[in-house]
Parts: sequence; structure tokens; C-alpha cells
Amino acid sequence: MKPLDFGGSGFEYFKIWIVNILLILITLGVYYPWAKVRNQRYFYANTTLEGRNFEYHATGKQLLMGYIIAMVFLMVVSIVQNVSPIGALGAFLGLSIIIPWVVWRSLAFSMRMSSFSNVRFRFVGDLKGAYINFMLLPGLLLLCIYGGPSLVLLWLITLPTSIGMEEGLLIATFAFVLIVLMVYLFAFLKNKNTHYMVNGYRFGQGQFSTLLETQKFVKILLKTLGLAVLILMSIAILTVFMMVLAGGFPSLLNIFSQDASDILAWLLRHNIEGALGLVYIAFLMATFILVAYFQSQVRQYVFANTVLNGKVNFSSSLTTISLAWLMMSNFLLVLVTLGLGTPWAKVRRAKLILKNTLVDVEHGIDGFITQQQDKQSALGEQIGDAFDVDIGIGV
Amino acid sequence: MIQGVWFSQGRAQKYDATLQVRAQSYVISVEGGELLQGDLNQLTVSDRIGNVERKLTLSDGSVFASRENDAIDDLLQANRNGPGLIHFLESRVAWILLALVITIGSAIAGFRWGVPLASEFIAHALPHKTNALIANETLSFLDEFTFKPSQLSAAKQNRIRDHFRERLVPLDEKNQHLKYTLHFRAWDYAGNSIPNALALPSGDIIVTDQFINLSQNQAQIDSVLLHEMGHVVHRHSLQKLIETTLIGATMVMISGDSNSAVDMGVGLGSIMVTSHYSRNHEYEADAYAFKKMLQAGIDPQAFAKVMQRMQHFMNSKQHGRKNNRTAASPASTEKPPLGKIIDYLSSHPSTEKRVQQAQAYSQCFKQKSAACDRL
Repeated sequence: MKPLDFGGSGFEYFKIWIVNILLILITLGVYYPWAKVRNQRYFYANTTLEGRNFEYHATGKQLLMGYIIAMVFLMVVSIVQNVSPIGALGAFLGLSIIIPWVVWRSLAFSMRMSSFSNVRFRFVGDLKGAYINFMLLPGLLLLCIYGGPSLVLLWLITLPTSIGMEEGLLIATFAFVLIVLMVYLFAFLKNKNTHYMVNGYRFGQGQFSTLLETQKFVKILLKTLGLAVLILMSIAILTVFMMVLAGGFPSLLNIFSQDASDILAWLLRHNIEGALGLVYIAFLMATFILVAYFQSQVRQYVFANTVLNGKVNFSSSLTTISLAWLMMSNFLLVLVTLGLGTPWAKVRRAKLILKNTLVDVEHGIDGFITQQQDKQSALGEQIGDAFDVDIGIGV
Repeated sequence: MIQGVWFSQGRAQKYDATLQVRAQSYVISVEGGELLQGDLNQLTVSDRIGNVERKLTLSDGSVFASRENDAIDDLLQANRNGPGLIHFLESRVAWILLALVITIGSAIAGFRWGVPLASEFIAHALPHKTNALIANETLSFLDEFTFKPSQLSAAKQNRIRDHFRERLVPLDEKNQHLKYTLHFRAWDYAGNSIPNALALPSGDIIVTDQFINLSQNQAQIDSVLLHEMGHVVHRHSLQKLIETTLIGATMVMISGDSNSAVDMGVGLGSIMVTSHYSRNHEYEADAYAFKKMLQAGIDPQAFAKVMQRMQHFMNSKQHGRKNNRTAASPASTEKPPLGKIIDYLSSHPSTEKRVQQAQAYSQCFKQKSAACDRL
């Protein structure tokens, strides 16, 4: 197993990045597709494995038309969303119908425009699969998340004011079933999405294949939820502790006998807005840790179970701690430098992620040959870009 | 002689190779003895980026790749176009500094003046129908989810409405096509009745019962109604919509394919920028109200008075909560640093500052001087 390597440096990328922004500003945005190409080429070409590198082949001209359409589309959606609640609903429904197609086209285009060691990638997943994975399954999950609780609320409204033991038990059972269902659906969705994408990838004549179990995703998700409960509890304990420090024990007793707005008033009276800020930062850090845990675990599992052409194996050694630290330090870096540190943040991320991506090169890569594929327009790619569609092909 | 590797078209296997140029032709000798030669013009050379491997594609689709970027640039310089303008910019420190200064400068100028000016221009260039369109369902939506019917007596409502129609609406002589309609509603939130007034772009102005109850005289009601008319005349809703859209598009372009941590910083930035615009709209509406009050012979002090009354009311209701953010946004003079940051994110200016403005106008109202034109 050999790790990938990222050979770029923060300052070198900063120069490319700042010139990109300058030209985008001067041309009032028209330069964006060319800027994107230079960006992509820098990151692809600096990614190497045993002296062989990746390449990004799309040109600014290819991306331009799709970019213009995407921008017009973005403006229309943004305006419609703001015009009225019904418009917002319409925009949401319209987007959910278009997004699967966008993801599908975007995957095909960006893979076809990528190569490693002079051999092109491809994506051969079908459109039907895209609609199942990016519309039907997420739709079911949303229905569960919003539909279930609304059902309970509606039912509660019809009840008399005092709820008896029986009703309480019924609601608790329903909530429990709902949470179990949500966890399972989310794991199922994550599994199917990964399955659809990885099995659709081709490298030359080589096929990527993976066989994943929803059960394993459920396990990772439950562990993440457990970690979340643990962290939330410690933040809560810490908060109460700080309140005691700030106001003394008697006022703590008072807190529990008062309602929410009084607690807020108490907090402000004791001038602990600073402490509230600390709690906010604690929440942010907690989010980073949880995201890092989930991502690194899923990555380890998926990589370990993916194989190219039946013989090239993969592995991820990315740990929760290193990823969480990267997210926190990058966040601070970008915030403190008012955005100017972004190039360094991106390079740090690429270095860490690639260093922890391992490929089994024992059988050699010399035998791979580029296969012909129908030409794809860059339309999907650019719309996906504009709407920040996360297709997760990034290694 | 340039060292590199050679790939035949579409194949992963690489061979060590060297490139030599003589006059207008090249010779690539591949390990194992194969020789490829041709005219330099038939080579497609990728643009230089940083110091990444350069690809020279031959006419048969095979590729010669090398990291000896400077040697390749020299070779091309002597024969053809050179390393390209973009790389030239990227590799000169002076140009980078200039780019940095221009970028930061134009970003600040763009956010500060460019976007608001463009939005103002676009908002006023659009037909009035657009205003009605974006306000279309808002009132019925608010009625369903936020407001309750007014408890004020029909006589009181009619008295205020008549005064509004006869005295205030004619002041807006430039916009006779606008149809102003006054609505009375009750607004309860968390057990408190909220004093507030708001304007929809269509010309519908909504005042809450609590606001009417808090105001002591007609002048105070008028000052707030004129402020809301200012929002309508300046088409602030439409401007806000355009500003948000422009900022959103810019942020997408700058952040591009960033990760979630970077997105969070960018999101915070765009909230700060849009709240800045929103505060400027409030000042603009205030200024409109003050000018019309001078015109109608009402002392702008009334606005200061009613703002302070609303602030006092909110303060007393909220047990000394310092940072409440309704139209009558109270603000204390001394703030811990975090309070200041929250203020910068706030969509309304501090009451204190608005009261000062009102008093400045009130000064020239009392002196009957024309000095107020400058304000």
C-alpha cells in the first residue's frame, strides 16, 4: 500500500488563487470558468502516486456556456424563493427534480475530464439510479424527519389539555420508532449513494466495485449519535458550572424555578455574554468533531471495501482527531485572515487527506488503457457547482 | 535537452524519454530506441501552473511530460508564445501584491458602494408591478402565522386612517401612483404585545395595537408612518432582494468548491454585509421621514420620543434584556465586546443613533433654518 502525495504549497497556490480572484473581479465574473480550470489543474496535477500524477482536462471554453446558464438559473431560483412562500416551495420542488440529473451529468463530465497516468476516468451509472439515489431516497428521509413530528403535533392539538399516561406512552413509542426509522433510512441512503457512485466509476477499462452493508453504516451513525449525546452533556454540565461560578449557588437554584426568558435575563444581568460566546464556540468544535468522526469512519469502511479491477485495493488511514483538528484550525485560519488564508487552508486539507489515502500498487498500473465515451456537455457540472451540490468524488 | 516521460495515446505505461529542439523541429527519443520527430507547431503544450508537470501532446495523441518547466518555457519563448500571461502574473511578487491590493480594494468598494448602487438602480428601473408581485401573499401569510385581528375600536382606526390619507399620503407628491393602505393588527409574541410597524413594497403599511397604545400623540404616529413610507418610496424590499442575490452569487464564485469549514466563515461574512445594507435602509427611511416632517411642520423630536418609549417598553418587559431587535431596538451605551459584534450582525441601527439624528433635525426645525438640507 502506497500513500498519495500532494506536492503543492500554500504560497504557490495563493498566487494562483489571488490572480484568479482579480481576473474574476475585473471581468465581472466572466473569467470564472477559466479560474476554475486553473484551480482544478493545480490540485489534480500536484496529486501523485509513485511519480504518476492526476490531470484535469476541461477547458474554460467548455465550461463557459454551462456556467452562464447556471448563473441565470441561480438568480431565478434565488428570486423565486424570496418572492413568496409558494414560490419557495415551487423552487424546492423544481430543484429536487433537476438535481438528480445535474448530479448524474456532473459525475459523467468531471470523471471524463480527469485522468491518472495518462488514462481517463469515466462514470457509467444510469439516470434511473441518480433519481432513486438523489430524489426518491432523500425525499423519503425528509418525509420522515418533517412528516413524523408534524403528525404528532396534529394529534396533540386534537387532544384535551392534560395528557394521560397512555397517550404519553404512545407518543414516546411513536417517537422511538420514528428515530429508529430515520437512523436506518439515513444509513440506507448513505450506503446506496456510495454504492451507486463507486460502482459507476471506471479507470480506463478497469471497474471500481464495492459491496457495502447498511448495517455497518447504522453502526457508525449510532456511534456518532452516542458521541453527540456525550459531548452535549459535557457542554451542558460545563455551562451550568460557569453559571455557578458567575452568580453563586443561590442563583443557580433560582434558575430552575423560573421560566426561559428569566434565565436569559439572568444571564445578561450577570454580564456573561462572553461565556455564551464560549458555549457557541464549544458547539462549533463539537460539530467539527462529530462530522470528522462520521466522515473518517465512513471513509475507512468504504475504502477498505473498494477494489479496482478485482486486484487494486484501497485504504484510508484518516483519523477522527487529525480531521477534526484540520477543520478547526482551517476554520480559524480563514476567519482570522478574513478569507485570505483560504489557499493555505485548502492545501493543508489536500495534504492531509491524500497522505491518508493508500493504494495497493503491487500489480502495477501500466495495463490500463483509456476507453472511448460519449461526449458530455459541461452543463450539469456548472449547475452542480452553482448550487454547491456535494457529489463527494473528492478522494 | 529536456528529461521527461512519454506515454503512447491513452495508455498508462510510461517510458523515460528526452526532448531536443533544433530550429523549428523537435526530436523525442524514448527509452528502447524509438525516435519521434516533427514540427514544433504540431505540439500542443499545456499552460504552466505553478510547477506542476507540463504535458506536450504530439499529433499522434501520445504525450511527453516533464517537470522542467523553465526549460520548456525557454524553448517555447525562442519559438512561439511563451509561458502565458496568467503564469507571468502568478510568478511576479509585485503583480501578486498589486492583485492583492486591487482585490481587497475592489471587494470593499464593491460591497460598500457597488452592490447597493447597482441594487438601487435595478430596483428603480423595474416596473412598479414587481413590488406588488413580491408582496403578493406576504400579508395573508403574516395574518395566518403572526398577527391577530386588531383590538382597537373602529372609530380610532378610522380616525388614524383618515389622517394618514389626508395629511401624510399627499406629502409623497412624487409617487402619486403608489397606493398606500393602512392596516391595524395585534402582534403577540412570547406573552408580550409587540409595538412595531412595517411596510410591504406594495404600499401596505401595518401598525400594531401596542404601537398605537404606546404613542402619545398624532405626531408620533405620523413620524413612524412616514418612516414606513420611506421604505416604500425607496423600494427597500426590492433592493434587499437584489442585494441578497448579488451577494449570494459573489460568494458562490469566490468560495467555489470550498469545504464546510470555509463555508461557515463565508456565511458569517455575507450576513454581516447584508445587515450593513439593511441598517443603511433604516437610516434612509429615517431621513425620508424627517424631511417630510419638516415639510409638514411636525417636530422630528416626535420620532425620537416614540422610539425611546418603545425601547423603554421593551426593556421593562424583558427584565433588562439589553439587545432586543425589533424596530424599536434598544441599545445600552456600554457594551461588552460580544455585544458590539452582535450589533454589527443586527439589521437595525441602535436606537441611540437614530434618536440623535432625529434631534439634529429637530434643532433646525426649531431654528427654522435651511441647514437641514445638508443632513
